[in-house]
Amino acid sequence: MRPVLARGYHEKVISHYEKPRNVGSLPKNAPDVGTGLVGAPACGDVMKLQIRVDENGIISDVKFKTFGCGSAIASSSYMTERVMGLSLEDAEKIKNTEIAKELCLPPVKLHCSMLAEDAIRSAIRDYRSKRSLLSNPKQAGFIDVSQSAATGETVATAHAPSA
Amino acid sequence: MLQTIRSASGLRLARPFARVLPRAAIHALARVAQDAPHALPSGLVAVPRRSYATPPPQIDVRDDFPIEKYHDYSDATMETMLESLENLLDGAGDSECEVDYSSGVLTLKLGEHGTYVINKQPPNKQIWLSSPTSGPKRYGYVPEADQWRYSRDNSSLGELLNTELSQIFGQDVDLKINKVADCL
Repeated sequence: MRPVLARGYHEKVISHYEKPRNVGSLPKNAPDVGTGLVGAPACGDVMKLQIRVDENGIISDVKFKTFGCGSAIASSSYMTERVMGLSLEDAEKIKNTEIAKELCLPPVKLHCSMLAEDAIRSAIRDYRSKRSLLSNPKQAGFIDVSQSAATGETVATAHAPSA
Repeated sequence: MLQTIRSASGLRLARPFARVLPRAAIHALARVAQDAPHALPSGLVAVPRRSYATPPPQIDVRDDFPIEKYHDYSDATMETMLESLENLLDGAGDSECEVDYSSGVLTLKLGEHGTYVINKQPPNKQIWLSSPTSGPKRYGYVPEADQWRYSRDNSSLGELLNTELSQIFGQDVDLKINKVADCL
């Protein structure tokens, strides 16, 4: 009990804090990347979590950047390890309580694990909204192309971007 | 400037589209386009613009709720809660239980039942709760109800604490913080 009290943070938090896993960024414009940005600078915690999703709907890469306390950094670092290789459906089921339990967070730090839950959900939501936009061929910025099987004639329709 | 590539069938597509769209999707687009044939202006390449991330869900600061009022209301709520909890613990007479309030942070230790932390969070004009039973929640002031409420399920701080503490103590607990007006 003594070392825990002396250091303030649990050793699992210290481990993630000193050696955070999967720190970095993914290209936020890429169609297979979803970005979650949660928290508010005024409150002391901002978390960015990005996922890359392969064609089978599996999270194939994940990166995070967090500004905040040790528990917030550890929560997001652990979250990246936890969601790697998961389907989106499984990833969005991860609860803050699981993170808090794994990292042995004290009561006052439960909010950090909640932020990590918010971050992955936000990233998944961003990815899904990107995909639903992409599936609409009539949207601005897209070009429809067709070729007649009989004559070989090619026609294309450009939907000019509105802005 | 984006380059274009020429596929085997002679279709000109901007690189990003070729990468984004699998072959089946291109065929689907081709079928759709037959209904509305137009010439493709050569060199016209458009890239869709979109927002990159969902807005941060925590930022819910009401402009019509001045910070002085926030402090008045939250201080009154915290003080009333503290008084009710002290009375509750005195009545229960359990030495393992204790309540402490300093610099906006109320800590309620309930031995084997765990520890509650309820704190003021002035940057977003909220009261935060960490419950050993139900986890973390953030309460904002809702004037229509004169209550501190959690926006995700519209539950109030007073109701949640009354319910959970009643269960823990095996008696009807009312912290008297359900309406802020009653605390002022």
